[in-house]
Parts: sequence; structure tokens; C-alpha cells
Amino acid sequence: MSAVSNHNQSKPGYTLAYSIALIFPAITIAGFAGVSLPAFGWFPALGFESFSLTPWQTLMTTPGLWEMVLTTLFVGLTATALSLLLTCIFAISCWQTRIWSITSKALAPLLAIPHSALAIGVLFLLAPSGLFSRLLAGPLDWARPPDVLSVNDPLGLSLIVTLVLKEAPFLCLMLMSAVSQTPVRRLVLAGRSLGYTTAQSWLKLAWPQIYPKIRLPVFIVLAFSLSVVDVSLIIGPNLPPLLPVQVLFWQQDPEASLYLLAAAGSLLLLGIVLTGAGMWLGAEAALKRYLRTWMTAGYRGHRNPVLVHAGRSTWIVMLFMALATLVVVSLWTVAWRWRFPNILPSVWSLKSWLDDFPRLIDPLMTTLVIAFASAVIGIVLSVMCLEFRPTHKPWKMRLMTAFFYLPLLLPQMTFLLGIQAFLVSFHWDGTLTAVIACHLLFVFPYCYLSLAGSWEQYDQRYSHVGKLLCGCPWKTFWQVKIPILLTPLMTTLALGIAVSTALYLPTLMAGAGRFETLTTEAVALATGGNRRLLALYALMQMLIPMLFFALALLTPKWSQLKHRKDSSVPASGRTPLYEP
Amino acid sequence: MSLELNNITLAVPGRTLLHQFSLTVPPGETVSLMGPSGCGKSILLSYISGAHHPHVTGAGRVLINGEDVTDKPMEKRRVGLQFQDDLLFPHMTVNGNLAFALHPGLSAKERQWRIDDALSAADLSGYGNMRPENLSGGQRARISLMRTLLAEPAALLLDEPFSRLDAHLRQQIRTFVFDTVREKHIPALLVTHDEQDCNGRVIELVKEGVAHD
Repeated sequence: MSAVSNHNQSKPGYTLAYSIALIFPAITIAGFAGVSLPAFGWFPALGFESFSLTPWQTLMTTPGLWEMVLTTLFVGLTATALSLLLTCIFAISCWQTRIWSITSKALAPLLAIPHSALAIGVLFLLAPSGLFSRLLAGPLDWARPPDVLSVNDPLGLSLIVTLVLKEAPFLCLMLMSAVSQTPVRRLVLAGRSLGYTTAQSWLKLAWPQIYPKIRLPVFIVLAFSLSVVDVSLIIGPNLPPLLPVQVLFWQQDPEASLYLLAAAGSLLLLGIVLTGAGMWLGAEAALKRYLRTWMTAGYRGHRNPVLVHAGRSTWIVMLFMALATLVVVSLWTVAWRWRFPNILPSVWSLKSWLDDFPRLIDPLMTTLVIAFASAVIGIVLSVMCLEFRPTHKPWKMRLMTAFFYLPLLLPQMTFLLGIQAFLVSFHWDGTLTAVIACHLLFVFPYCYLSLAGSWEQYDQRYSHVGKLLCGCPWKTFWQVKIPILLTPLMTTLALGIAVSTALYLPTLMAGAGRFETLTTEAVALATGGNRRLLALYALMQMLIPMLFFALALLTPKWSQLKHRKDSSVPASGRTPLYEP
Repeated sequence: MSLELNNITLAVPGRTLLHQFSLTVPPGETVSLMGPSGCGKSILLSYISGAHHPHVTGAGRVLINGEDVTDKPMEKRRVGLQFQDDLLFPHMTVNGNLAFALHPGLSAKERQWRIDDALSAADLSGYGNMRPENLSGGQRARISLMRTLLAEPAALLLDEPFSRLDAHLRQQIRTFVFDTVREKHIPALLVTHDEQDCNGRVIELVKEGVAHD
């Protein structure tokens, strides 16, 4: 039941909730329609007015196409499988240890780091002249950076490392919430009382109940890894690049006919994502079949502390590597001279902050405007949706939620290209409204999902009592419900800002190159040689979401402080009770 | 002031809870409703207040002071609803909670005067600036009841309001409630599991199928 409407949930209310819920999936689907026409030669805005198969013929004869397709599939599937494996290792080896609670605190700031900033950090770590090779240079006696492709390697291994660093923590967060909804303690106890080791009990009893709960996030990770553009531009293969990047190159080419090629290529990308999902489903089914006998074969397992410690160490190394990206990026912003084998800069200076920071102010402001606007609009729409959704029809609610996932489960490159085709046709591209709307495609679902839990946990009786007391639903909503839910609302604002700050393609596609955000600038600079400037951009990218998350964390503390001040007043009224 | 229920029938999908139930509560009286869990006592209270879940279907009329409020939204019914949890708003002080219930249009002086009056009636003068979480269970229950009364309800519905209190407090709050109801001349309907809670007329509800016999 909602606070704004009365108990008779109104028809207009449902209509509002449904229309908000449907806008973004509808735009996504329209994007696919918009990309299909140019893929078959029809794009009047650029002067192509007849259907043909030419774009497809050109696509199929592109040199190195199949290499691109296969590498894209390899990178996406490997990154997803490794992320899931690491999550599983984490669950089994760290459950009920201090690492678990430390991780639960470290995850939020880690997840707030935009993909591209993390990629820049990994670039600084893994590059031939990066921090890792500097650490090795001493013992191995290297005078100059080794001549190996440790980043931008043709197989995309460095890209996989970056994706895993970002996606494994995401899956872990999902795992932790799944664990809290599953009686893992009881299951593991039951297993151990039957003589199974903790690890075997986890694998055979807890994991089969937990995996279905994190399956949707796994598919989101898969779709993302198969179609990622910004991270791939920074650290992925160069010649040839992965397919999504190649599609972007075609789209940006001044030669107009390549736009049609980009459209066809993006549909091929959709095919790759669907194929990848199909392969994943096939692997799931095969494993399920193969493991069914193993689960009930009665193997109890042996205590293996070495393996458990190896699992924990892997996870700690991963957390440290993520932290190291932040450190190395910060170092580069204050390093003036940092010759190769030196582990630390030899000359420190704030010169790049003083000289280059003014350059950042414009993109910083643009980023903040877009992020703040899309996060606030995302929250307002989510709250309207949550207030008016049909709570007494669970299947309709589930369907609504399922729709929200659509933009996250499909390749961005494909539908954004189609949306861009629409925007270009109606001359709406390059407007702030178009950019914010495209950001909302991704910001809104996260806002909604983040608020939905708090809205469900809210005790409706507070609103009932409020309405009965003051007779005004609006007053009750603003003075009772919103203040009680202030902390989740602030966290969601921070999340929305983090999501928007990280977005690359939506800004690029809807902005017609007129909007420079920290992320678009950082990605553009990544191929150049100016490490200090690049580090400055990456650091700002990391700091903005972290700053807002810190503010959100402070909200409840702040109101506590305020209330301590309040409650000190009536001490006089309190003391008589304790006096004899 | 009186509370009148005419031929109330309540059902949830697949089950009838109440059939043609009628009752008149005169002002100042507290009528107690008893019965096993699931017989629809609490749902009846939420139906009267308008806070029932959309899957509850109901027929029959609810009249307060002779006025039919059945089709009115909950906030227009002038019904006070009291749960076993005090539901004090955690983000407001005691003063804030009480002020929330006062009608608008009163002068600031008048508001403060009424709040202070309510606090002293609850024997809690000087607690106005405290947060609900710093009060004891009994103190919270009294403040919660005072909050409900400050809204000047035309009828009072009490949904097991004493069940969370320990035996000693229970007697104290009970007396407080019944005295206040009598004094303010409001009709009250009390749902309870404890016979000792009852004060005056008691109506036994039975489970479905027998209720309408």
C-alpha cells in the first residue's frame, strides 16, 4: 500500500507506475528497431533510402572479423567464469571469518570506482613500465621496460584481469545478500553433522540454493563483459580491437556508409551476446547433470587447510590489487619525475594539480550536472513507481522488475546506436536532455532495485497511523515516510551518481561529441602518453562517487549527533525517576 | 459520538472471515472483541479504519456519529488506531510526535499548551524533547496513546495494545486507557487475547462457518 494514495489503490496510480516502468524498456526495444533499419541500408538522415544487404556483405568480408568475434567471446566468457569462480572461492574459504566482514565494508567503495578509472589503474600497474615490472626490475636486473605486450595484448588477458577486478566484487556483493536470505549456517551445520567438511557442505548444500539467487547478476556481468567498450579501449586488444570497439570506430568514421556497417556490426554483437548467454546456459545444464551424481555420491571431503588458505590469499590479493590501482593513480598525479626502474617517483610535485586541474573543471562540472540530474530523476521516478505499484499482484510486480533488467542484459552498443539513429533523425542528439535520458536507462534500474528493498521493509503502519493522526496523506509522506527512509534514499543518490559518472557510451552516443565528461575525456586520453593528466582524470573519476558514498554514510551519523543534542535537554525531567 | 457497524461481511481470497456482523458502541464504552487467531478481529479493525489490504473484500457500512464513512479514505474517517507496537516516529522528538497529531490552525501557544497538557496527563511532563528510543516501553505506550487522542478521534480502535507490556505496566496502562475513553466520551473497540484486558461488554468471535450462526 502506498502513502500518497489512500487504501483504495487507484487505477491512475497503477497506470503511472506501469508507464514509468515501461518507458525505459520501451526505449531499449526501440533502440533495437532503430539499429535494424540502417543495418539493412535504410537511413534517410544520412541519405540512404533503399534497403540492401550491402552492410552485411561488407561486414562479412571485413578482414579479421572472425578473430574479433572469437576474442570477444573468449574475453567475455572467461572474465565471467573467473569472476564467478573467485566469488565461489570467497564464499567457501572466507565465510564466517574476519575477511568476510572486512570485504562487506570494502565492497561499496570498490564498486563505486568507475570501470574506466579502474582500467587506467590496472594500466599503470601492468604496463611494461608499470608498477609491477618496476617491482620485478630490481631482482631481475632490468634496466629498461621489458618488450612484452602486458597490456593491450591480442588475447585480451589484461582486459580479463580488469573485468574480473571489477565484476568479482560485484558478484560478491550479490552473494552476500543471497547468503543473508539463505539459512547457510543451518545447512553447513547439517552437512558437518553428517561428516562433510565445511567446504563440501558449502558446495553441496549452500551453493545450489545460492547460485539461483545470483544468476541474474551473473548474466548481467556476462552481457557487460561481452560488449564492454570503454575498458576495452583503454586496456583491450588494439589490432584488431574487440568487436564492440570496432563498431564504435565504424560509427565514428566520417565516411557515412560506415555507419551502416556499424549498425550491422552491432546486430552481430547482439548475436554474440545471445550466443554467449546460450553457451552459459548450456554449461550450466551440463554441469548440473554431471554434478548431480557427485553431490549425492557421499564423498565427505578432507580438511585441507592449505587449500582454504590459498583461497583466502587469492581473495586478499585481489582486494589489494584493486586498492593498488587507487594508490598508483594517486602517485602519478603527484609524480614529476619517475624513471623506469624506480619504485617511487624521484621528484614529487603538485605541478600537474596546479597546471592541469583547471582543464578538468569543465568536464567535472558536466559530469556532476549529468550525474546529479539523472540520479535525482531516477530516484523520483523509482519512488513514484514504488508508491503506486500493484503490491497485491506479486506476479505483475515481478514482471515489472524483470523489464528493468532489460538494458542491463543486452549489449549497450547495439541499442544505443539505434537510439542515436532516432535522435539524429529528429535532430535531438547533442542535447543535455538526450544525454540525461540515455543515462537514466542505466541509472533508473539501479535506483529502483536499490530502493525496492527498503520500501518493502518499511512498516506501513507508520503511514497508516500518520494519516489517521493528521488527516493528510501528503504530510504523512513527507514528514513520516521520507525521513524514516532517508538513509536508503541518500545511499541510492550516491549509487545513481556513481553509475552515471562511470557511463561512457551513453554520453558519447546521445551527446554527439558535445559533452565532455571525466569518463569520456579519460578514455580519450588513455591512448595518449600524458600519464600525469590521465591519472588526474582517473583520480577524479574515483573520488566523485566515493565522496557521495561517504556523505551517504554520514547521514545517519549526522542525525544521531543532532538527536544527542536534543535528548540532553530533558535531563531534568529524567532525573527524578532515578532518585530515591 | 458513537461507532456503528451494520452487517459487515469480510472475506480474503478463498475464505469468509465475518458474516453480517453488526454492533453499536455508545460513547465512553469499550467493547472487547475476542477470538482465536485468524478469526478476523484485526482485519475488522483495519477495515473500520480503512487501512485494510486490497485483497480483503468487505461489504456492510461503518457509521461514525451517524455518518457513513465506509467509502471515505482512511485519513478522512477520524478514527484513532492503536497497535501493540507504539509506532512512535523514530525521527521525531516526543514533542514532534505529539505535534504531528494536532490539527493545523491552532496558534503556536495553543499547540504547546495542548502538548504539555497531554504530557502531564501521561505523567511525563518534561519529556517533550526526548527521542522515543530513550523512553521505556510503558512511557512510549502512554505517549503513543496521547498522540492518538490529540488527533481528537471520533472512535478509538485498539489492536492488542497491551500485549507487549509486562504485567505491572499492563494494569497501569489499561486503567489509563479505560479512564481516558470514559472521560473523553469516545466509543472504543478493543481486540485482545487476554480476558483480563476486558472491561465491560465482550464479544466472542469464532472461526469461519460458525461466526454467522
